[in-house]
Amino acid sequence: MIEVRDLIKTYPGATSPAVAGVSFTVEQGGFYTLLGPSGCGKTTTLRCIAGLERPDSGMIKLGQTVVVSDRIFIPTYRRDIGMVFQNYAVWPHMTVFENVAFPLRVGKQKVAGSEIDRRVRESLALVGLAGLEKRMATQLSGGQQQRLSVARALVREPDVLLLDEPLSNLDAKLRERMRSELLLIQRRVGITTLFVTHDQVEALSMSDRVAIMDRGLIVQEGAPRDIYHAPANQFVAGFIGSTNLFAGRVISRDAETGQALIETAAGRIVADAEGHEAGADVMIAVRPEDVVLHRGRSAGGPEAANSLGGVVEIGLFTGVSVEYHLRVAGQLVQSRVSSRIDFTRGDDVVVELPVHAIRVFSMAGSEPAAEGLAGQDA
Amino acid sequence: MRNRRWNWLVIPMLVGFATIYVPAIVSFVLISFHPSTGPGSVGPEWTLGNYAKVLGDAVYQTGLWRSVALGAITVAGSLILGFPLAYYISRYSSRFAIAVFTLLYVSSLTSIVIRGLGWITLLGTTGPINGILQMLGWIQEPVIFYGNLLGLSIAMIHYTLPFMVLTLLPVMHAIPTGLEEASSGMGAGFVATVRRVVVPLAMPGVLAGSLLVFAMTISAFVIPRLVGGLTLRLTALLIDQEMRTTYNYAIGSTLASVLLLLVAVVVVMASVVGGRSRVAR
Ligand SMILES: Nc1ncnc2c1ncn2[C@@H]1O[C@H](COP(=O)(O)OP(=O)(O)OP(=O)(O)O)[C@@H](O)[C@H]1O
Ligand SMILES: [Mg+2]
Repeated sequence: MIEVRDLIKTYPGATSPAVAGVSFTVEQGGFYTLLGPSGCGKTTTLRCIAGLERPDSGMIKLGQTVVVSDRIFIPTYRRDIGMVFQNYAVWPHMTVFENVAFPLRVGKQKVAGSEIDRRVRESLALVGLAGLEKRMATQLSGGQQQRLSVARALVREPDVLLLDEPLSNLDAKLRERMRSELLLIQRRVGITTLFVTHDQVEALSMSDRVAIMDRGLIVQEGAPRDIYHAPANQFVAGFIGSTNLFAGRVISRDAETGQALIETAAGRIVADAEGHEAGADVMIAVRPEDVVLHRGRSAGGPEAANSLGGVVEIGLFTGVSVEYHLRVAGQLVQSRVSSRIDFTRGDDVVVELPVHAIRVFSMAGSEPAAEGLAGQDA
Repeated sequence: MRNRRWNWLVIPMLVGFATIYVPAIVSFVLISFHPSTGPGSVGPEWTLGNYAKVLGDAVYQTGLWRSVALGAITVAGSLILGFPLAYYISRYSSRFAIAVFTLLYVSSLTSIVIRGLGWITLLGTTGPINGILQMLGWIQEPVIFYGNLLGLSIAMIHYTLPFMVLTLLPVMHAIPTGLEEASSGMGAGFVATVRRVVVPLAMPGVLAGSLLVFAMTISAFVIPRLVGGLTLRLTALLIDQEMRTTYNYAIGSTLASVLLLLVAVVVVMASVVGGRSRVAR
């Protein structure tokens, strides 16, 4: 288990903290990901947990041990962790075997030679490097070096595994394969894992839980599905996947159903707008794959709520799907549909925005601090 | 290999080398195989007698041993001081580290004569070092530093330290800090990290620095002359004596050849060790 409370870290000379009060808990055996744009403080958070940075304040608990608090700072080498770095950081002057044996050789408890031999081989077999023991670490390919660094991190059987963008230096094909391999290893070993990445596909596909970070804060935390389908604010909606975002104003709201009529550049839209009063400026988010297209002209009228008339501007065929850019009144809307659906430029279409697929955020949603706290338990 | 067309740039250096340095070496090596026929002259016949004399004579033997011992002590001393210093400077870009480095660098630019004289003053029986030691009550009688290996080693370590540090620095800088972080992340404390990661990776620099310091020390003249005095009879001083006082060119050349051979042996040894450590990388 990893528990982080109110972690704050300011680098010397920096005007604002790199990590500005982060709290989260990784359950025993869980796979937890910190996801966010470059510079949002993911690495800094991870390094504080590893003990490579000393936080200004906050509490960090690994397993049952408090490693950071007001009065405690346990140095890195006495924390029960395994680490995997973005650039592998395998030791170039050692063989593959020696790289993996290192944690056993330097540890507090002496491990017998035969035991070292057994555990190193076990670890290497786990990551699929059996047979390469005698090679120098630098004579491995990038992917193999990454596996080596995973074997090295696991050989001590630590409480937690910390990974900082471990796949980002691999080419696309290998990255995809390592994604499932890494997850498989994690599941097999059952180790509590904290993963840092700026790649949302990695984050969504591998994690039990994902925390979205922005400017040193966690702005939303949840299961990948919830993060994707119920982004807590405009930042998350825009950062995860592609999203149609357009501005609007609440005209009226039915207090009973919570549904509101919202005026936008695309027309009037009905949406669940809990907590947004009439007259409020809001932001509307719809995933392109939720936007439904019908051939023909809009019938108009109240029964056709959220069915707006549009014109096809362009279609981008990717094989799996087609992404259509549609002009709906004064608004550009993107729709991703099955690649069997075929429109040409200038076609009239009815653009349907299903009520359940629309998320409404207040305009102030660009402030991560305020929204972040509200969105924590989403 | 790839940019062969730039090879001509080394020609001026090679020309200078071939016309001045190589003939000088060849000539004294040749002289060392001829018998002395009086001050400033050697006979035409070939002989190994000079070597027999140099290696058999107690004075020359002691001189050689002392030179080698001084070289070894100086290498050890400048490594013990220089390695942590270079590591510190390369790892902490603090203002203090930069100040330390600047101080070291500037001091390496100071005239060698001034530094030698400085040490004579500092190490004299009434000098500040003896004063402090006596004040602390660590010694009763003043320690004599002049004219022995003790004082000379101190001065030589001071003289060679900047060269050691400047040789180590780029090698230390080239070691990614991530390798040390990985080490502590895998449970190694500071000492284990230095011993198992930093030292092995800095080995090329350690070898290069040690070689440089050793060669500098056994051929050093000015500081041994100033701080060590004539009684120490180091080889470099004996060479000077033979060449410029007694004009025994044969013996002087032989001593110089032995010194040359000594450095060559150390270079070969170091490159064997270095080659092995490179294979192991
Ligand atoms: N050693 C440092 N000294 C000063 N500032 C730093 C240092 N390391 C990081 N920062 C700053 O702290 C902030 C957070 O950096 P951090 O490395 O945690 O970001 P990140 O989320 O890991 O980004 P990336 O995805 O680019 O790796 C950034 O603004 C960065 O410039
Ligand atoms: Mg980072």
